[in-house]
Amino acid sequence: MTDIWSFLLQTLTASGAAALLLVVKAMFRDKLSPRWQFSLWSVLALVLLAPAGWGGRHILLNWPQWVEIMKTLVTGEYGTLTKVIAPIPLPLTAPSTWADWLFLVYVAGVVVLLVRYVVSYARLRLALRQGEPIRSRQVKAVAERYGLPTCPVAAVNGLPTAFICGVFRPVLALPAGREADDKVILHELLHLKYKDVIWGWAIAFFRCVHWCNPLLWLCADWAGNDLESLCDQRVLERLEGEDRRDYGRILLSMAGEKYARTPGTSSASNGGENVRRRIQAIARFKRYPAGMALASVCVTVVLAAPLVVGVRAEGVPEWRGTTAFTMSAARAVRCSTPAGAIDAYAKGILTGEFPYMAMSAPLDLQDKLAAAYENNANASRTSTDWMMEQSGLPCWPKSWEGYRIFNLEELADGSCEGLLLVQLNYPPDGQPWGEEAYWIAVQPIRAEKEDGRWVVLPLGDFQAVPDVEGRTFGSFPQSEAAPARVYEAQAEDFIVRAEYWTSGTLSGQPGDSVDLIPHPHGAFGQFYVMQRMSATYTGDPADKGEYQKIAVSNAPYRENGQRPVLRDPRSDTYTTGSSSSGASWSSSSLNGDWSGEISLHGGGTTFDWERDGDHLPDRVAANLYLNDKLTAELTLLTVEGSGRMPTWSAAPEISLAQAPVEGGEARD
Amino acid sequence: MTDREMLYSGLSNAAWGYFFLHIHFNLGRINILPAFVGYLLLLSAIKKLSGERRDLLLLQSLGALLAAWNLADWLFACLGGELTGIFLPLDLLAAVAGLYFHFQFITDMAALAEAYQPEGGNLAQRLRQNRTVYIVMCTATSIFLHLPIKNEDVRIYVSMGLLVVMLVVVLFIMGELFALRRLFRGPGEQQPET
Repeated sequence: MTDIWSFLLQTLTASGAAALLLVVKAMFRDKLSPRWQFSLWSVLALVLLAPAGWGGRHILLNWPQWVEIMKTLVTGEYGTLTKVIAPIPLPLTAPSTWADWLFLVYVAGVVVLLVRYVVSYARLRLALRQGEPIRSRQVKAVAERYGLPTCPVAAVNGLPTAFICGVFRPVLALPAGREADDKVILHELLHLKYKDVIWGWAIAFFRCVHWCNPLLWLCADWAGNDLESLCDQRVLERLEGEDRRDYGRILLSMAGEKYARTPGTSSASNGGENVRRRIQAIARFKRYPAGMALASVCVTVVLAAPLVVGVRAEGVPEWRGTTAFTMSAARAVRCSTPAGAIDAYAKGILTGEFPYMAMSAPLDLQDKLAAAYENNANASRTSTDWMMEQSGLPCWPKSWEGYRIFNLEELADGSCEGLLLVQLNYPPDGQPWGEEAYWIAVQPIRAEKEDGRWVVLPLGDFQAVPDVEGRTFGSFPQSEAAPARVYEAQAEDFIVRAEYWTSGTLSGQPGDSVDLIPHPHGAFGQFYVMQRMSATYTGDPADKGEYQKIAVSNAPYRENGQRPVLRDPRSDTYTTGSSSSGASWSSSSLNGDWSGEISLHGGGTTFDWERDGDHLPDRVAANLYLNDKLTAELTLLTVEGSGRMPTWSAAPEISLAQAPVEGGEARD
Repeated sequence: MTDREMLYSGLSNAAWGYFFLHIHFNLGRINILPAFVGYLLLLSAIKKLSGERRDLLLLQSLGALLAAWNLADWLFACLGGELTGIFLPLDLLAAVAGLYFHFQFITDMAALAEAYQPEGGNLAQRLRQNRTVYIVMCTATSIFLHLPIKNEDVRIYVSMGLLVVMLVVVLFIMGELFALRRLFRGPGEQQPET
């Protein structure tokens, strides 16, 4: 925990788990034994040890969201995300804000409490060293009778009762001048056998780390008491008949004694109220249903799974009354997949919902986004207006058509780049309006991982492009509106060219109607890859007559780098074909006055982006046949910059500069 | 009602209780075999059988809790909603209560069978075995729901597999409870084996 907010997240998470466990323990108090009651605390220990909010998950309640909202309300910050890197306090930076100083105060409390415990333990060890070491025949006899280990014994003046002190060099401390009952010694030797002092140290440690959390302090007390009850159960399992009742009477006699909790020790007497509870548990000893071991384990496992693994935030942020609430809640919904981030970004564009954009915006843009949100609301402008100004979107998009992602490519660093396409409501200024006039807006984007969440970076503004017959948003998108990834090679007098487009969207969409709610954990659905072959004559026009037929067969190179076996396309006059593996072949007769550009068609197929990759090959194998003779075996290489927006030579600066509000000032 | 009749009736309630808990039939939104009826039958069974197995009385509070929870869930469903998933802590409490409830209940039925089954009979052993499988399946299902599994196909197939196994085990348990009930049919003078 590196700041006060991460401590708050950790302690609240543990508190939620603790509250649930206390209810469960109350439910099963008379049904499951003290052994189970104590072992249930191991679940809380796991929650305390695991960094809260790991992997964008939360325990029981969405604590990360509430901490983000609190942080923003108190500090006005939007551009940070609370993260717990360790379950212990780690002040890594010098304090500069009041929150940092508050964290230092907390850390000081941890240190003071730890030092207090260590000093208390050290004093106790000193007192024991000054006590009289004795060879206790009684202790040895009890140990032999019950098959238990022993340790050095010391008689100390003024001790109210016996206890074990220490883990590595344990000592059994007995009250000097008084004989301890065999059963009390049995109790202490059982603590020794099961090394219960370690649990005592662990409980004390968590008590220090969460010293300002009264609920966890209470849980620490109860855990200590359950440890003693467990030891009582172990004692009772070894005693019979009247001895059991004697043991209860001994405990009763301790009920009035004062008790100072010292870590590193175990004591049969742990305070009046606690002793009374233990006696009640003893009275139930024989009444716990037998054979419940498997049930105990299953109940613990069922509780442990959600408390340790946690759940992801599934909800989508909605308006919560103020910018701070809404944008903080949005920031806390982490898009866990690139598809989820792109979906949130795209739907933010389509609907103009700032929270959707906040889900997928990098942290360094959150402040600007929140400021824009606030200013827009104050000026009674819609967020779509803002979006159009910021992104180059020429007019409102047709939200009901959804969006498409073209040429989505996974890069070596794990990020994804592609083109976001939305359909425009009407043509851009000055363009004709007609029945067949469809226009789309295209924006290059990148999805990358930032601190455990996927974010989307626009790599440029939207550009409006005509979309012939609206084919981009059809069932099988066949649009040339989006730039294609081009592969080329030269052989003889021809440039052989392959063009690839892929397009798709989130899994399950668009379906019958577009769902405009973002799915931050979504996956890409079925994509479509379209491929087209062509050839360009580059030789002397006078020599065109030498060529009567051209044929090309092509296929992407295999993932292992092997050249694929290509189908021989030579057959009838005009043959074209393709296969689901991405191969295609086509032949064409060159009759009469053929133009220099030869379209050789291609094909298309669907694929699963998540399973099969982006289907944009690194290179393409092609065989060129001229006049029915295999002329060249080619490797078509990517044309630099193809498949991206056509005019960028470098990615423009990302700008979310606030558009001037009427009567106001523009700000960066 | 004589003791034997009481035991017979209690075991009837128990067997039919498991039927209502696991077999559902919807008419539109309304499940006409609601689970809360199953818990009410089990509570009735507990009352009738507690003379033979005192430990069963420990289950009354849990049984009442589960009946109330399932009644609320049924009402939500009738109104087109779903109670499960609204507040995870309550779901967990219901899950662990149910887990323990069924484990102890069937364990006690097995103990009853142990006392009354004819010599060489294995009804008690079968009940204990099916109880163990049932509880392990319930635990596995609970854990599985919380695992971060991205592949939807895997999620669906595993869920269906768990469901099928649970259903088969429940049918076995029902059959064994009816078989246990048969031991108390008629005016016989059978005494528990000591």
